[in-house]
Amino acid sequence: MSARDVLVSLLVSAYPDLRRRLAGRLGSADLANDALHDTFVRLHRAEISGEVQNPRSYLITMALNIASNSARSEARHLSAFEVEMLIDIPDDMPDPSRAAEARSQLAAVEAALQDLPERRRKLFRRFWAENATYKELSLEYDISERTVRHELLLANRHVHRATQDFCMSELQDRLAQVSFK
Amino acid sequence: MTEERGWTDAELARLRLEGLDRLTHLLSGAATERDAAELVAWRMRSLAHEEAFRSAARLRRLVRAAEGAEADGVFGVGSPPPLPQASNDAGDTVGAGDNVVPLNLALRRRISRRGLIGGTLAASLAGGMLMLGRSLELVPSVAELRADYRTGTGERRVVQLGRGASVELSTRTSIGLRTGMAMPAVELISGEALVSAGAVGGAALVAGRGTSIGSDGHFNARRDGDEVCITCLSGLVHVDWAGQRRVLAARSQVRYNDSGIGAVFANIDTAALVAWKAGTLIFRNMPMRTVIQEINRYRPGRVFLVNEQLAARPLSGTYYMNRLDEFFNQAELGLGARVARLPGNLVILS
Repeated sequence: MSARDVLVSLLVSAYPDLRRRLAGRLGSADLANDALHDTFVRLHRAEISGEVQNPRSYLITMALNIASNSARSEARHLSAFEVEMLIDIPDDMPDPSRAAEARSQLAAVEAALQDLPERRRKLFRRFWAENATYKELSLEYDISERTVRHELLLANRHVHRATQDFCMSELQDRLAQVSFK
Repeated sequence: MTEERGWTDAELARLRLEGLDRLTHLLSGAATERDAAELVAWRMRSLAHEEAFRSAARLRRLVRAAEGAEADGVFGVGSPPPLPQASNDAGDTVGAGDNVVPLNLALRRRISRRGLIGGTLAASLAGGMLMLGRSLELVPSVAELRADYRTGTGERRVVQLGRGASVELSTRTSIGLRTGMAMPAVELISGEALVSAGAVGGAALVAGRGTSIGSDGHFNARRDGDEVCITCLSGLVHVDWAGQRRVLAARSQVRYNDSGIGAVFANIDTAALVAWKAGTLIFRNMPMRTVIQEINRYRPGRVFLVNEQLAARPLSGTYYMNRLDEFFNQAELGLGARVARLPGNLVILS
């Protein structure tokens, strides 16, 4: 049996015990699961040369390394480019017959924005239309980022409600366009 | 996972508001890679989740239009906001106009996988897989997420294309709707689809550098990366690959990729090929490793085969997609395989 086979077999057969030990070191069973899965997958891609003296210890070390690398990369902030990629959705060009609909949607949004208290409206505008971040807004308005977030969520709620009717019918239409077998 | 239920307006409204709040968090400047992965997972939960997210994104466009943020796009649609100039791994810059051009899909896919999920995390998972909820899943590419229609693992879906034409999507399939052709047309971004031409005018499927047109009848198309396989099931199919032409009659098949198109093969076992349409998988003397590859397409999580002798064993059988775990019982009893079931729908066969 190759060193890799030994490690894989041990990982499979001792899984519950390994997970328990890792959960203790990493702080949660979920993190331990993640780390062990990644270890399993990495084992299949790795070249393991020579003998592994203590397979159990090897596995734990490998899993811990993977977990700490993950934690570091997962905590990395997304760049503006990455964010744009994530929210990019297919373009749908409305046909001319829907132009009136689009205009009334726009009017509904404008009316909803007028309704907001002034500071909230400004925050909303700075965030959505001018791409300000929580941090920038908290400095500009001398409030905590938590407050920025809270204000935006309230504003979202308001604008969402004001646009709900036509949005729901649009959503239902889109979902109905596909049929299932 | 295979049945999509009806959603009430109230439920959709809740989803849309949640989508809006998630979008807010993403744009806050404080979002991390983990947040990106969670957003991807949320969108993948159901078609309604994806549509709710898109509705939130459209609302953003409306708001930007209302606040005069966009030069054009009065009605909240039109070209998306310009992307900041950024470099990809090779150092080339990617600009705003690249959004809607299919040519850049492969480039964007490469950027997105590394950029979204992070170098180390992606590199440590084989094939770019991710723990989504309780299951190990493939990370869909940005192109796949942007598709007009997408199926999840184990899902099937029929889309009507107009003029009597339709396309049925198999598991993990993404298609885009194409305009500008004389007949209903789709682009196969990834996965497998069965195209049915209408009574009038036929239907077309574009994949990579090839275009396949069925004038009547049905054909199956499958795409893995840039490898495409077109099989005529009935009627005639004309395949054009950069000016080279192939004509397929029923039970004939041709493959192509970005470098070339092959010869036509006849006498294809089309019953096995399209068994997925009926929710089954049929294998006829297929090596176990290929069987497992196919099962992985239809089954959430992942099956790993770690026994070389088993991998080469030819198998025949018919299985129901929603009862694939019966396959493992049979492997255990019939082939003497050891089956280890791990959390996250992981199965290890040894």
